[in-house]
Amino acid sequence: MMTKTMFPPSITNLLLQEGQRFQINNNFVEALGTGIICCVASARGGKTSLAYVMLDYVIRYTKRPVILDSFPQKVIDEGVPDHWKGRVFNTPFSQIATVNEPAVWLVDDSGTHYNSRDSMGGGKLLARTAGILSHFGGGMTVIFTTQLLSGVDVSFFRYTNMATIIRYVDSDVLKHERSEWKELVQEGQYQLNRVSSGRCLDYFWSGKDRQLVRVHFPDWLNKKVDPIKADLMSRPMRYHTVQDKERMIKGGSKVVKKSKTDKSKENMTE
Amino acid sequence: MKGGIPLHVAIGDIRSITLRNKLKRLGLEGQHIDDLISLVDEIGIQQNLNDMPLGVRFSTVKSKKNKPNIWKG
Repeated sequence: MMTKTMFPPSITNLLLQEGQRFQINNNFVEALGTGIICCVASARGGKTSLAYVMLDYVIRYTKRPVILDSFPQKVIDEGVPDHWKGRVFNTPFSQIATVNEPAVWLVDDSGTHYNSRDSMGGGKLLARTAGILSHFGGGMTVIFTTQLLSGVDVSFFRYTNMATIIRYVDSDVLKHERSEWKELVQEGQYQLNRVSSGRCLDYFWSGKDRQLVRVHFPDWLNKKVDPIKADLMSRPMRYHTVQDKERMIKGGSKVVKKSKTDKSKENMTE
Repeated sequence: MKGGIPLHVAIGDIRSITLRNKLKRLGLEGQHIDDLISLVDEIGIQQNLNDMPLGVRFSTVKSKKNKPNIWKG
């Protein structure tokens, strides 16, 4: 069930709007309302659905607009639940400067859009933005999901407040995690396995609060209730045009030039 | 052999077995006999632990298993 206290303090702090009050251990504190919530899980590990529950929380308990980064218009029109209508947009993250409200962004599968190996592309954009998130629109929050933190530009984690959410990560994939985060992800796996099994879809580990949190799964994401809407929300990128999908994979129209080799000097030492 | 040997035999002392057999032969039974057997078992286990590092000795101490910390919203 959705309640205002359903998330632990580190997450609530970033989901509520700056200045909104919430309770920690019988004390009221004011929410910061700006920062990054990163959700790590392997494919089909419940990252996106958990991100949706957080956005649902934002829609219910705040007046913040919600932006689903680069989502297909079809998903905005036909996939989102009725009570989200009018509150949700699909502005690309690259246009963050044009938004003048304390928005909450969902950057889904950051590894594709903002890969750490694409240092001159989206990865750089995300990293540069992190430091000034609190300035834009009166303080913005970015929820991003990724299969592995090593896939995201490291600068993104350096300059703002963070709350980490760990869900099931495949043990073979975990070996490739960034050394700074590996311990946290491993601890998350241990804690999740204490209360659940398999893909541990019923809990997540909040790294900052060091607590397990039970996951709420809404009806509008349930395939048994409405399979079409559920698929629109569960796999939104599927509904992009082929051209858009190709652009996402290839990373725009960037062409890497091959370096020329002077055949006559190939084996020479100077 | 693995898993088939009782604890007092595996890490105890041979005297606890001798005592058990002796008491059985004498036909002695009851609470006070059980206490005597457990006393000899404990002395045997302690004797073995004496040669072990402190860490190993501590790990044999009974302790509460901490419960998973679950957020109660």
